[in-house]
Amino acid sequence: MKKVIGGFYMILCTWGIVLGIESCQNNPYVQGQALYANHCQSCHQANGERYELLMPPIAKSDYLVNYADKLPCIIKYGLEGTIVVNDTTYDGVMGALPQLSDVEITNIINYINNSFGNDNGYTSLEQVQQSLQQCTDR
Amino acid sequence: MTIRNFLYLALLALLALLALTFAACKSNSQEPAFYIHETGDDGTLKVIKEEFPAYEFINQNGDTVNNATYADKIHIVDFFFTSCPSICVPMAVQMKRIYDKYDNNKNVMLLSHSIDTRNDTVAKLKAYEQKLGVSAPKWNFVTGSWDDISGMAKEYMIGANVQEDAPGGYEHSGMFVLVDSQGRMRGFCDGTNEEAVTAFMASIDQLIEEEKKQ
Repeated sequence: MKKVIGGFYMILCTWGIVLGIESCQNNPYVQGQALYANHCQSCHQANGERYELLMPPIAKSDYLVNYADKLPCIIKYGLEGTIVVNDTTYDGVMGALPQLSDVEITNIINYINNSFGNDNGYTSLEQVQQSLQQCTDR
Repeated sequence: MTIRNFLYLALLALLALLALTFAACKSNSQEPAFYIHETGDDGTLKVIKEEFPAYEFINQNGDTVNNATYADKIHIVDFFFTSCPSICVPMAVQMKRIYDKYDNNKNVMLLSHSIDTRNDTVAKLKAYEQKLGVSAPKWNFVTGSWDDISGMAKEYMIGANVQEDAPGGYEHSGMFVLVDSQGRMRGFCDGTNEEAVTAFMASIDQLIEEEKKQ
């Protein structure tokens, strides 16, 4: 009897885990997406598009590619001054998010690099931590 | 324990697991929209505040903006600053929705006060106007002395304080205030929240209709 119940539990747990993984599987950037919604979206828009000349685009932005190693510092310590994105000049202030952990920063970077029509590959936690050691503006 | 009880327990455990899984995968929900107006028995927007004191500021073109500028104009008022790294972009996005919607209505105007009286010069306000692609007098961005600006913020029931440890050095609320053509306050909303501003624009529509009837 015990064996039957034990076996039943095994099947149940496996099924539960499979279901659990599956329901998240459609989106590998769950935390990055949630963090983006909380910290970035109100300025950078739900679709990552530019807003007039006030807000540069994340969507199909050459800045993400050209300054890939600077992204961790920008997210953590903010950005101020003139930047050129897709041949357009923007001059503004982006707020800092010093409370974010290295893992959270990695998840945001991987979300934005693979959303909004972007296909910029994967950044590892180690790469982010290396970049963060090079931040000049903190 | 019978097998039946065991099965019930197992089913419950599975349901709980599923619920947790779905909760974990659901994206974060937005904060509730904050929007306030009151209507009287006849359905008209109630007057929240009867009048505002005299004021005089300078806009992005160096022109004087005062009570006379908004005589007989419905206007929407907010407080911001050009180097604000936090709520000002979403406020500008929402304010521009209002600007675009009432583009052809000369009786609706916008008034944004800069609370960064140390740094937001006329030239900075002009640059901000150009970044947004809007123009005066439909949308005036004004500056003045700290006492005058913060004094008016209090009159509009909006908090604005110097706070060195806040992002950008100032702490302020992102409220939009609706003032009718007689200079009376008729409603306000959270200017960072799209849903709240949509409801707020319905109040502007209503106010336009009410004033047509008078």
